[in-house]
Amino acid sequence: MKKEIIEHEEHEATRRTTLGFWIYIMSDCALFAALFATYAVLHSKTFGGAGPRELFNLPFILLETIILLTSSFTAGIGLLSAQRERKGQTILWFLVTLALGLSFLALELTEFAKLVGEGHGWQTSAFLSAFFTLVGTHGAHVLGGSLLMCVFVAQTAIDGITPVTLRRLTCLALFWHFLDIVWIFIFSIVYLMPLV
Amino acid sequence: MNKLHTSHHHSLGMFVAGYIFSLGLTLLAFLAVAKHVGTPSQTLFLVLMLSICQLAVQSIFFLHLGSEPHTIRRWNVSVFFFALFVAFTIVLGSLWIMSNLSYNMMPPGGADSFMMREENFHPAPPITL
Repeated sequence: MKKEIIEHEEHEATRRTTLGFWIYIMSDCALFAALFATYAVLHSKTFGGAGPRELFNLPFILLETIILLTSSFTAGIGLLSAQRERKGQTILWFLVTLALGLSFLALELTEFAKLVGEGHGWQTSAFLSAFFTLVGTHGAHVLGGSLLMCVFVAQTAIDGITPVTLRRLTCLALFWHFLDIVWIFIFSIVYLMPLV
Repeated sequence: MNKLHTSHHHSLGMFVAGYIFSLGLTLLAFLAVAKHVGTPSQTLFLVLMLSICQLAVQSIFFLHLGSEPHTIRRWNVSVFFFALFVAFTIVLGSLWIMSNLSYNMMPPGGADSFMMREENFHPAPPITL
């Protein structure tokens, strides 16, 4: 009887935590909405400098998109393995997700370095300030997610799959899917639309 | 039975289907832009629609929105739609205000040329006495 009560409390705690984390993610939407609005207002204000048409390399961005999309998929599979209490698989899939996330970040930083190196830094024009702020904020979220993933994978490896680690991995997977959805809008609005 | 079986389980099929749909929608949007299908305004509309489809697909297949147990589903879904409402208000409101602002704060002489260019307005020639 006592065991059942503990189970029930764990279950309630999981539901509360997931809902709270969900509310955090949805309020993060407001931050990205503000940055998207800034970009939408400023995207044509290039101050005589190069615009999106000259600066963006579409196949490269498509590669970044596919990498992030795949990492969102592998995070989902990782969570699925955690729910089925397969510790080895969980760790493996989250490590794959981490590797994909870090390759995404590496590609993004390559792109930023190239832009800054060619004299198209964030201080050049309002368009580039808005661009670097929006894409950089998304990149910072991916970096934060990657750090959390390192910690949670280590915790899973040490503690195994307990209600606590499962809860953390659930939140992390939600966060990662959210970042992928934000990137879809960056891909469409920042990169594709100006090239039409 | 073990202690984790009470939590809600997702299925592999959902994730695979979501991944394939998202990949398809991404490639479609990319090809529409890269191959210059249709007029620019048609392509813009298409890309916007595809990204909204992508939002729906990923919310349903990856975030499992709407398939949670009944008690939390109502909360999750209402928070989601409230966030969407806030996001659209911020983006559309900013665009509206800023276009209005730039319209009403044109530099001296800018208003005449703007109205002639965009609104087909031709001021009467100055009256000479």
